[in-house]
Amino acid sequence: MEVKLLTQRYDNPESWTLAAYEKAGGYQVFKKAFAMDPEQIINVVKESGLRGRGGAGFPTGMKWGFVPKETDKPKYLCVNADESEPGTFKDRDLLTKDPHALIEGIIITGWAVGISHAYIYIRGEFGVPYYRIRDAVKEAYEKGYLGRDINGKGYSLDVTVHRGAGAYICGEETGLIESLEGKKGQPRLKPPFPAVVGVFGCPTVVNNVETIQAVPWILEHGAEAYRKYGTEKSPGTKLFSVSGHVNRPGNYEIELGLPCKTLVHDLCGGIRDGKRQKANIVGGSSVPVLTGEEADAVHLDYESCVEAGTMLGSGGMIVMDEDTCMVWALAVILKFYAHESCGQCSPCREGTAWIRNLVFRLESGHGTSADLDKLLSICDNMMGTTICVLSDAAAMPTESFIRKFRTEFEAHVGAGRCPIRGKSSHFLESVH
Amino acid sequence: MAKVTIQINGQEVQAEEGLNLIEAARAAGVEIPHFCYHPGLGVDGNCRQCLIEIEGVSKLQIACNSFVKEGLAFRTDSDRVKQMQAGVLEFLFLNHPLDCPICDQSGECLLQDYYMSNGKYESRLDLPKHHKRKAVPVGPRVMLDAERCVLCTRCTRFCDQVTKTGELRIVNRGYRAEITTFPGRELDNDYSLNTVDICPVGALTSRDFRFQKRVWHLRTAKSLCTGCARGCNTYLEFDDGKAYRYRPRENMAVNDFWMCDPGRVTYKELNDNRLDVAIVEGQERPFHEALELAGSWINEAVGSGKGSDAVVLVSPQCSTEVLYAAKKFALDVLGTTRVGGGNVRPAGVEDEILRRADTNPNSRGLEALGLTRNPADLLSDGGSVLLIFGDDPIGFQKDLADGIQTFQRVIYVGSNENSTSGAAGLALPMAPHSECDGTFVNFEGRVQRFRKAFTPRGDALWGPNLLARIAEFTGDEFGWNGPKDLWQELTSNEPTFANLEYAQVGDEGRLLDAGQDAGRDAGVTAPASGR
Ligand SMILES: Cc1cc2nc3c(=O)[nH]c(=O)nc-3n(C[C@H](O)[C@H](O)[C@H](O)COP(=O)(O)O)c2cc1C
Ligand code: SF4
Ligand code: SF4
Ligand code: SF4
Ligand code: FES
Repeated sequence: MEVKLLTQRYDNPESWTLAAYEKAGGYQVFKKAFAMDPEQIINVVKESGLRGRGGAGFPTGMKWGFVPKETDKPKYLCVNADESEPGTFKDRDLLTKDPHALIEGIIITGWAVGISHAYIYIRGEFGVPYYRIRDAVKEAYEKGYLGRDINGKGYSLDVTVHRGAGAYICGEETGLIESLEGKKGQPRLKPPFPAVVGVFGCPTVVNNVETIQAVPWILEHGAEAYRKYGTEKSPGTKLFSVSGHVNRPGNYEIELGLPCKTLVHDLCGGIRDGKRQKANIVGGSSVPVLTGEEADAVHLDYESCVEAGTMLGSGGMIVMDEDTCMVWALAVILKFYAHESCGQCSPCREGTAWIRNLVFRLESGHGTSADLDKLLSICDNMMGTTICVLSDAAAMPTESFIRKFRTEFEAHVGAGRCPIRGKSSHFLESVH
Repeated sequence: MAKVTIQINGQEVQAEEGLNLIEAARAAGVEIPHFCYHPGLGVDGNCRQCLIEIEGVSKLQIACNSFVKEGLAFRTDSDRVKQMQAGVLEFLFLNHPLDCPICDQSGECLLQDYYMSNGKYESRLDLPKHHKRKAVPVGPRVMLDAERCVLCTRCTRFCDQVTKTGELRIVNRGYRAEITTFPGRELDNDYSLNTVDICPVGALTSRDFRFQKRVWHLRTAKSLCTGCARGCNTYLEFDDGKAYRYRPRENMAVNDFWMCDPGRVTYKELNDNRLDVAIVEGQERPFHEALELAGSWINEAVGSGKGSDAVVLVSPQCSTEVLYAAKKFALDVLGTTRVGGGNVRPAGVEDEILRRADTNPNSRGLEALGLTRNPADLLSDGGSVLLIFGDDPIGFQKDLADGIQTFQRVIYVGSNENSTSGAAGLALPMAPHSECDGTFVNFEGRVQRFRKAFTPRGDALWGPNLLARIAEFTGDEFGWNGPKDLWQELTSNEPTFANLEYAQVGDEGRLLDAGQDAGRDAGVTAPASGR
């Protein structure tokens, strides 16, 4: 069921204000943290088993541990608020409704890792979330929670909110760093990893909003309390943004390991108009699609998702009912990736547009069955062969859509239009 | 660096620790196809053409960013690697215009070469291609065809890292990405044509060379640029007695992989305004008549005891061999010690990359032969015969004309018609460095060889031979059996050049004081094309 750790203050009136946050007990945990050894804090986060909520699920405490202790360079924190994965809209809510919790998370992380400057890289299209976090940072400065000599502990931390200019790839951590440095946002070759060479060549931690926002709760209640939720390997709670054909779409904070069925059919009130769930992309548009039956059987934790052949990703769940044309759905997804590939790697730059065009053509009813195998073979060349995983993020859905819904693709061949929606979109015409 | 044992395709080889696997494989005779990596620009990792399989690593890795360490084993010939080599090429060709029949790069294009060596797949494209801009003059010397570009960023990195002028960028994302200059700016730095060399495809072409020649008709000679005292190593490319272009030849001790744009156009002097026949008082004359006339003028002077009154004005534009022969001619045939010369040209632009203010290729050679003299001083008292070798003293320094006019007889020996050849009573054609073997000594004192590309044009002769032919009329014992023979004599007579065998000079050149020769940079070894 729902467990409200990060979203506990969502219902407070004016929850985004400093007053409301303080009234709810906010800005107390960082004082507790300041009394601890930084190393101790990292250990608590390690013990809590907190994993990155930005998509890859990398253990957060371990990531912090990679930052070199002995260095004369400043260390940076980048809070990844670029949230652009289709289907994912949880960070937007966190920023809008509880921005001070993020700031407190930043202060604690900063103290633990020795950060001198934190950047919140926020998606350019975000309006209200941006104003809320911007104002919250201002309030926190005025109150002395940020800036010089915080709480008289001799620790200084600056926070800058930086707006992106509208590119999905700036959510990839090294693309984000390049963009922050004022360059064209495109991923860097790794290694070196940001923990060693990040912003301005200095050690940098990049974490998702939700990850950092979980830190105050963990410090307040302890690693063990956090581990009471979730599974052994996927402890704690996670926000899921559910969209599509459910009765009650929205953000849900659930215990990791919850059956997907419970989220879809109970919390979200089931499929609209009593229809059947044809497909579900559980973790955001980049992950392989599940059929309705597979989705009903999967549990929402990192390991179970992998076992089911998909990924938990960023928790952007897209539910599709029986009337959905899967070819059309894939076309929409691929339109996004072809548009968002940064274009450095040959397989991604050319591949994303190629598979998009082939799927557009299939959707229009002018494809051939040979296109399906061609698509699979192109996807094979796109997976695991590029600098970042955007290429895989386009290939994986494609591969799984074709494998699981092949008959639907074949039904389009030669029909001259989409047999499910009765008409076809004008995707193909947009190809230039 | 230490040598360690690695395995390439199952073969054990010794490789330098830390070297990237493209270079390590190349040293072992295995070519890994690649576009974005260039030894002069480092690793960028964007083209993904160099994917290889490293034992114990599940994902394919890029060879350019993987490095030799003890025990490393990798394959470039497994099915997965071959699939990706062809697969990446297929991606690159997807929206490629295949302009080969009208593309200047054709014949030296990595897309063509790799398609033949690692591609050869059946086309699977049955959708319209995406089009980009064509024939865009991105600068005064470089033309861009954006559809041919594989977006390897070699050109942008060159302008960022080498010239630090940063004119080029990629704009737009994904399949819409293309190379361009910043608004209102042009690709107009002194090294812009290097982007044409390093561009692996026909996206950047030289506006000078464009449509002049299909490259498979060109032949190549190892040469040197004569634009300044750096002496950048070059390939001189020619066909049928005509030079078409220079390309830089890698020499990590001199010019790395580059050469400057002003230097690059100096090949034109090898074709244009050539003095390739003898001219007497403005009239073309049969060569042997002109030689006889020169001989008689010299006999006249020497016979009347005015040999010591003669002046031989040489130039730092001349090869070491010509300088040596001229010196010897002055001393032995004319019996004058008034021999030497120096720079007459205005100072050029000096920068921190390659260009030197001294725009002569052989100032140090002149100096090493003890021939450095101020031209004005040398000419000041006039005399019987004046023999001028190369360059254009009057053209560059009008004042020198007066000194020159005070001589009774003026003989000009050079490769181009110019103000000085016009002012001389007799002008004799000498082969430039494209038409003979020889050496220049660069500003650091590095003796460097240039090789003959084609036979001398018209009646032109190798300078020392020309002198030998004149000496036939004066009855002197004078001449050599070719450049090698002359070089042997030079090295035994001139202490600064002692023991410098041709073999030692090699392709990299050799410092006069060889003890200093630590090289500018250890550098990696790449084939001369800089691929
Ligand atoms: C194409 C692409 C887009 C990404 N977009 C985001 C994003 O919008 N927000 C985010 O937090 N992480 C995003 N990531 C993941 C980040 O690279 C990085 O793993 C994450 O920010 C690390 O934080 P975490 O460990 O807290 O999850 C993206 C990754 C890729 C490959
Ligand atoms: S995989 Fe795509 S998005 Fe990622 S770096 Fe390469 S081209 Fe850019
Ligand atoms: S760049 Fe190469 S493949 Fe392309 S048109 Fe020119 S020669 Fe042909
Ligand atoms: S123009 Fe040439 S060098 Fe520049 S990115 Fe394109 S292919 Fe590479
Ligand atoms: S990725 Fe290795 S050479 Fe381009």
